[in-house]
Amino acid sequence: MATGIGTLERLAQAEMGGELAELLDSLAEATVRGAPKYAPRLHRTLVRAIVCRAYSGLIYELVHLMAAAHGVNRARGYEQMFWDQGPATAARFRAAFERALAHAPDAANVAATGNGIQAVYGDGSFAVAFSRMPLLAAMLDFLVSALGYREVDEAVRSAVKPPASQAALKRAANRITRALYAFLKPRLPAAQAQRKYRALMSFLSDRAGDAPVGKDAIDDDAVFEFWRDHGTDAQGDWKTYRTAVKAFLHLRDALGAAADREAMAGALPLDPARDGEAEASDLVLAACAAVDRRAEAIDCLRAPPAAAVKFLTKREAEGIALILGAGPHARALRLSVLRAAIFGAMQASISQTLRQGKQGVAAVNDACARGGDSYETHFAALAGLRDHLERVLAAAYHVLAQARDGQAISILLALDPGLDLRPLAANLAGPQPAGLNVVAIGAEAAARELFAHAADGAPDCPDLERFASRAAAAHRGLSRKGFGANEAGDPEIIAGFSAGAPALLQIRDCLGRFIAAIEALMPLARDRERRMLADRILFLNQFRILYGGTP
Amino acid sequence: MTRSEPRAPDTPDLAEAVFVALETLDRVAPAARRAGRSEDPGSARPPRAGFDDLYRFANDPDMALSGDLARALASSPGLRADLRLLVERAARGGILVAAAASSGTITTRHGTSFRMTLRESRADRSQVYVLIQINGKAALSPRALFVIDDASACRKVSLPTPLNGTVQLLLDADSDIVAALRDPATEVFVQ
Repeated sequence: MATGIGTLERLAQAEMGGELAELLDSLAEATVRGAPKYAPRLHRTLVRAIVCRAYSGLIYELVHLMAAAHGVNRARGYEQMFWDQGPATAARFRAAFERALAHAPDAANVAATGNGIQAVYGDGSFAVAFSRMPLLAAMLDFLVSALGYREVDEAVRSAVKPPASQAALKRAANRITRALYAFLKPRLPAAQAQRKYRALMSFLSDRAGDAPVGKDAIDDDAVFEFWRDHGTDAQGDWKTYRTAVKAFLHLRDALGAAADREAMAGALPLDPARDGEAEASDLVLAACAAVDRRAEAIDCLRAPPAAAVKFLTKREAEGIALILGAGPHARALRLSVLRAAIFGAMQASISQTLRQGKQGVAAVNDACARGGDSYETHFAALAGLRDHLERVLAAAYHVLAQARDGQAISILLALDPGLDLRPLAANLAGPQPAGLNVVAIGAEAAARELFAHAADGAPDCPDLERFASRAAAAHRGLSRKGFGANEAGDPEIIAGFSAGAPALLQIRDCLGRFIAAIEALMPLARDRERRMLADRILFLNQFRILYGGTP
Repeated sequence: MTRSEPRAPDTPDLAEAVFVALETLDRVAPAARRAGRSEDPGSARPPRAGFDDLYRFANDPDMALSGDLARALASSPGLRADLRLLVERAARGGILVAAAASSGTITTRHGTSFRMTLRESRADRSQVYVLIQINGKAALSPRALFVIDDASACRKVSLPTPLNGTVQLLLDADSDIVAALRDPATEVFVQ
């Protein structure tokens, strides 16, 4: 095959895009003294800011932080604050600034404010919260890796020469922002994604006729028809079914964000003349953050402190990743998500066989012979996972109620909302304000009462007693890391359960809604089996066209 | 199939921008997240050198050059330049400037706080003494010697405690580091 200039350009872009991905990976995997330097959630916030090109404000804030860190420690420079403190956490930055200010109380123009630091200049002042500092540190690490230490250092050092001013720091931030823009320009090519967007919109427009194209125009039939018609496109954008499903999910999010924007009463249209680029970047960032947040539950379980407990195995987490990622669209595209799980896996298996040298149709036949999951077995696995999550949450209640952690109450109310807790009410009413004919029940008093009863086995509250007994049995029945009887009182394990509980509840809700949506579409096992047989014919035909050239 | 122009909402630019950003996020999202690798330590890639490693190598006299960092330095001129700048910042007394000898190699370097001399051992001509004398006014105790040439990145030698204001090292005369110290193109810093 001849390699044209276009192909070379695509290869070059892929290589540069790969370089960016590699750079971001290295930040995600960075460790300091054996511990991850950045929390996954923080890293993703950084990645979003970079991809959405919404980084100018971050860089301005960073430059102020670097100037302040330099001001309180001129002997060692700002570098010590960023690269000699261990994992990047707000607490570490707070401690570092407090230490530095204690040794240099007259340090430059910087003072602690309780939640952060404030730097005062001749032309104004600027505050940076400790909670922002880990993210800014990640941005600095990224800048240094992307642009080089010298480039960033020169910009900042030239700005902190006395007398430092906001104007000088603004110039430094602008210089770094321009350099980053130039770095990212060839590494964040939009051409392929734009082409995909136009292909999807064109397809939906043709399908909709005169009706406007909104996110509701995307349904399971649309996804399959598009993939069937475009899977063989020469550019190869749509060869895999999973790619098509993911792209339609993205499109639903994108059209939803645009519709929300339109629906905002009195909102100004995007106006390039009014710093429109920054405004658009912020809107894109907000939309992406909302989408990205769906995956945070899994990340939360993998990161400390929740990682102290083995809530889910890798396979279990992978099984629900697409459902979580589909978020509010999982119901509308329930069949597509299910098909992506079953036939996406089959297509991956075909690709693997082809890489081993087998011919197209033979590879399809091989994958067909291997079988794999069906809708019914996959459905049963998801239902099993939902039950597992219920047991894990019950076990978490057992640990957290003993520790008197408030998350226990969230679990209790989520797992058994119909629980009759009225027997606890008798002891709840404390001293009442005079002149009121209502009984005030404080949340703290209610929690205290509940935990006191839970600790006693709740003999006078049968529902709670039954739930506590079920929770204890669930805890005994799990043998994964963190669920041992002798671990229940370990503060690290308690912190793990407490941090993991909200994420588990979110995953359980999401999975439960998806299972209910599948049940609504295919209530009985035979319905799922019938659909599987029909879809199997459709997909195998398409695979034969894609890989063998004939249906 | 005939294709008509897409009919998007009134803010098509925003829809397209969000779509492009989401597709790009998927493409550049960390591999650790894509593959769930963080959950399976056995499948994790070996740790890579980060800027923290570079900073600590330049600032902590006791930190040796790790294999990861050595590989990263060998493959990246930019990283070598960054290390040189970090070493310069961390050095006490700045760079030791060479005083060229008639043979084209050098035996003495001067800095604001230190003076370094290479002297052949009288007892064993195959060995060379590296003497680092502390400037009388400088209340500094040198802890590491950085020898930097662009081709082979950076060598770092931990220094023993000075005796009577002088640090003394005994090195093989044929060693790379002695050759580098004699080379006028090499930059030498004392930390």
